[in-house]
Amino acid sequence: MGLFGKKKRALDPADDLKNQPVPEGSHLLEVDDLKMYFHTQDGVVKAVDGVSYTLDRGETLGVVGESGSGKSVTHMTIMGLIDMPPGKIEGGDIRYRGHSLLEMTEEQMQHIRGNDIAMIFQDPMTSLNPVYTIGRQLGEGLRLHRGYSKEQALQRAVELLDMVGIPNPEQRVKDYPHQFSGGMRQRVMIAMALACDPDILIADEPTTALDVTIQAQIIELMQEMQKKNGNAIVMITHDLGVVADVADKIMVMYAGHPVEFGTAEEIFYNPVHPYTWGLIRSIPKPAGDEKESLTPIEGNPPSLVNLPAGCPFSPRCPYATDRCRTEMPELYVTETGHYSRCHFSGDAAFVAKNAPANSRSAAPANAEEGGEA
Amino acid sequence: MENREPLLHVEHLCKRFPVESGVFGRGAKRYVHAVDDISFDIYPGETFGLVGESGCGKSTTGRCIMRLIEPTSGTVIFDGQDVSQLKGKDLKKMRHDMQYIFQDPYASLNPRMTIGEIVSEPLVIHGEMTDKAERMDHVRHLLDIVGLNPEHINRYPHEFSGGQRQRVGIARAFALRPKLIICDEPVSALDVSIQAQVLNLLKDLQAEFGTAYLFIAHDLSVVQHISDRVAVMYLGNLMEYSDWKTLYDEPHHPYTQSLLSAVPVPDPDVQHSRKRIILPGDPPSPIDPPSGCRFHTRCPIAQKQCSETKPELREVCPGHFCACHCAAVNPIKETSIEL
Amino acid sequence: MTDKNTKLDQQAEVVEADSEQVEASKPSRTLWSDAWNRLRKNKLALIGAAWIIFVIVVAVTADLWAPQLLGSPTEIDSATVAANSKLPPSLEHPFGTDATGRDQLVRVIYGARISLAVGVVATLISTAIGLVMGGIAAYYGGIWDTIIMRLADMFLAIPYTLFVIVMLAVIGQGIQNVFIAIGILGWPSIARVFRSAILSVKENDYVDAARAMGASDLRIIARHIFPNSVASIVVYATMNIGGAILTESALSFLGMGVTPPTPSWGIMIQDGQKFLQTEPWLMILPGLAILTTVLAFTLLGDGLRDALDVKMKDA
Repeated sequence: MGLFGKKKRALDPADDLKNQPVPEGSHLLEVDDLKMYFHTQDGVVKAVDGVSYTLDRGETLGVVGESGSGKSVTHMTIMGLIDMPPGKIEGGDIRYRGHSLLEMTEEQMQHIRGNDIAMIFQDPMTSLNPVYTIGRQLGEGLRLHRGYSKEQALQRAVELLDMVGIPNPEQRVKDYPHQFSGGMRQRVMIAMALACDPDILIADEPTTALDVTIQAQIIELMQEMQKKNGNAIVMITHDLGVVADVADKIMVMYAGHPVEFGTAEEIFYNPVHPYTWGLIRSIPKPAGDEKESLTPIEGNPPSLVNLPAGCPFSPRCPYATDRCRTEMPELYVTETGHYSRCHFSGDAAFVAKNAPANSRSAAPANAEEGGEA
Repeated sequence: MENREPLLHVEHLCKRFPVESGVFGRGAKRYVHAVDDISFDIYPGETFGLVGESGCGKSTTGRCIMRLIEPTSGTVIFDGQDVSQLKGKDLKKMRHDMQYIFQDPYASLNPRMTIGEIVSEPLVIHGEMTDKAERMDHVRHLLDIVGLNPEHINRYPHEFSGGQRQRVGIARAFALRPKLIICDEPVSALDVSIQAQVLNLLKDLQAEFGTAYLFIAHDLSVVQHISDRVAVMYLGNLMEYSDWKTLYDEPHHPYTQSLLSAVPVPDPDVQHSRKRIILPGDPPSPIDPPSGCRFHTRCPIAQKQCSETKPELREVCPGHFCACHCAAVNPIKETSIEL
Repeated sequence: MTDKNTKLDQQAEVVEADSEQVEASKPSRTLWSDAWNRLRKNKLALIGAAWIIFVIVVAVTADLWAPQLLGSPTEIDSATVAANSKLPPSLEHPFGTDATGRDQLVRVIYGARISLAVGVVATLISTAIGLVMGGIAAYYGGIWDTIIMRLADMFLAIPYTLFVIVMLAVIGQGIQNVFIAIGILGWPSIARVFRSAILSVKENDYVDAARAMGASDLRIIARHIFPNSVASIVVYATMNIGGAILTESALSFLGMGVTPPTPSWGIMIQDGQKFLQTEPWLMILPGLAILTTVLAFTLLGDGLRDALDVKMKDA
């Protein structure tokens, strides 16, 4: 019944992981010290090195980092979309409703992908196949995972288009991708990702290619869909503004490592890692009375093949000491689960002295700064 | 500021690109109205920000001013000379004083030339510093100013990261000490931390050399940060312009207001508490732009006259221009539209 | 950015750029030395190149040793024709002898001279015409582009070998005319490749950057467009040499190319085909010479394409 190649048996709903309860003491998605290395000619690229987080239904995790920080590779690994070789999982585990995704066969993973965990990509222009109608592409997952007939799939495609706010869906299902604008295509991608009502929606820079007014539409749509379906969202982005908008939890990544993880509240108002501070200071603030000058992070991200000794951020960190340059910091974890990979995160005086002005743990002299819209 | 002579005076600038229509190109010729009758001034040493969404014509405006593409009509007066009439030697002279920084740090440097050759090329073209040793000294100095290692003069662009390449592009633009630099999305291809480095560099260089910038970008917060005055473009038209602070605090045009409200603010409390105006639909095609006000198809406060007559840019406060029939009468903030 | 490969490329790109910054003392690599480093890793291309060099050396130095060892490639010794005719390969005659008792190996070696000469000279002629035509079409565009490209289409629409034969029939046989005929008819493909290379290079911002600096057309072509589009021509020309060798062989086989007794691979196959049933080496060995040489040029061309592709590291 698949569009391509061999006929696939639709999954019995009872076997569907999505319909099984999350085991006691575990979470919807648990990523546990995941390590993903690429073995290349130039050496071992430690693209993902020790990522851990948990996610439950209805939550949104924001993953922030620069290009090459491993934020996308982590989630391609979760989806089982990394070619191995050159990729190799060097440790850790990914558990979905208590089941390890790394132990699953390719066939089991195919049931997971799209059905339980769905992904949308940055570029809506190339994510859709130009030779099939939108309706056919939307219905493909349903026919694959749910065993829908052609008519049922088309009927559902119309509903999905309507749900994501595409006007005149009965007509539009018969259209081809080039007949849609960029924002409309991203809506189609969201409809496609939500077609099988997945538990987790991984969105890899879903709005980066879009204009700001369209970005606002798409973010609102994703939030609305989440409210309705109760799914979890992983929002991968380089834009702190976008995560401030949507995220409940935030993971900041640098050179393959999660350097800080916490609730949105913690990351924005009580950040403890110098890289997070650097990111916050790098963004032009929506104007107050005077223009604040930006404090960029000096230097360039390190080579993942040839990581500096000690803390990978130490060459660019304004507070780095000799200890930072020789010794990899342990995770500093608070009782709320907020963690940071810095020797000094536990030093309240250091944090108060150096944290950015809008941080609530910063010295009171420079607390609370404006930003009214 | 208004008393001084403008360095660049743009008046009624238009650029239309013909599009093929019909199988044999017959029938009425159709045009993309990329830039449609825009006027503004840039004064010496200031930064004029031009912001808008993709396809609004902001880059086309920059390229027309530089004469990288020929404007369809309108006047561009740079440093007292009508740019659109310049030919040959005079055009070359104009390009001595006006330089361009490109968006894509990968495509804007010739991969077959060394960094030294790239940065010295404007000097060679304009016959300045004919002595090679002197020229290379100057290039080393320029590399140093933009924060690159002068020892890397013999390296090739592919050996550098995106942010470093953009610094090379900036060094090249400053080689001739121009009076105006058109910065076409110079930081949008860069990572956040690198973006801040480049923005600071541009500010520092401006402070040192007194160069004026036409800063074109889609990112409103970046434009606000670097500009003295900001203009908002939509579908080839200027909708509103004023000094950066007024535009931010008291936007008159509904498009500016929605643009400002759509920019995500990196502060969850602000983000969750503020009112957002989400515009419906997509920007219309510039091939057959809407009649009257270009924005009326998406405008939350559009009236009947908006689809009939095109609003002129009016000075709503000194130095603050806005092209909207309803703006002054009925600013969106007071109508409290819930969308 | 949608598929993982781009993601990984991006990643690799960052890695690349930064490993450079770490080793600031390392000498700068030029693009050509980079290309050579990549070519060196391509075994097939190296085999191709080695074979081409071997054939060239043998063909060029043939006068110094081949006739002494193996006898004249052209003269027929009437006294020994009968005794030496169609001898199978042996130590004395590694490739055997032909119907008139001449050593086959020496004829293959001298045939290589003809084949290589035709390949190289004809390709040079095609490339020269192709570069000018493609360059004008791409840079000036408009009506020039239309005229030149429609002309190229016309050339390409006519069966190539047939066209060469007709042309040779008009201008007469002989080695120079073979050069000219193959050379002239080869330009449209080169022009097309060069034109599209220029058009894609022209899109790059550095061309606009040069214009914005006030650079002249000549400077833009010479410094920016040509160096970045020439790689595709090097690749195409290399492959074209193999094609020209094939055409020459086909012409000689049909009796339209080089005239006997000058040895040419095509003529040898033509002579040998009569004996395919009984003495197959007479045809197979010269055939192998063509096959290996053309294959060598193709492999080298493929290798060059991969090695010279700046976009692999750069885009």
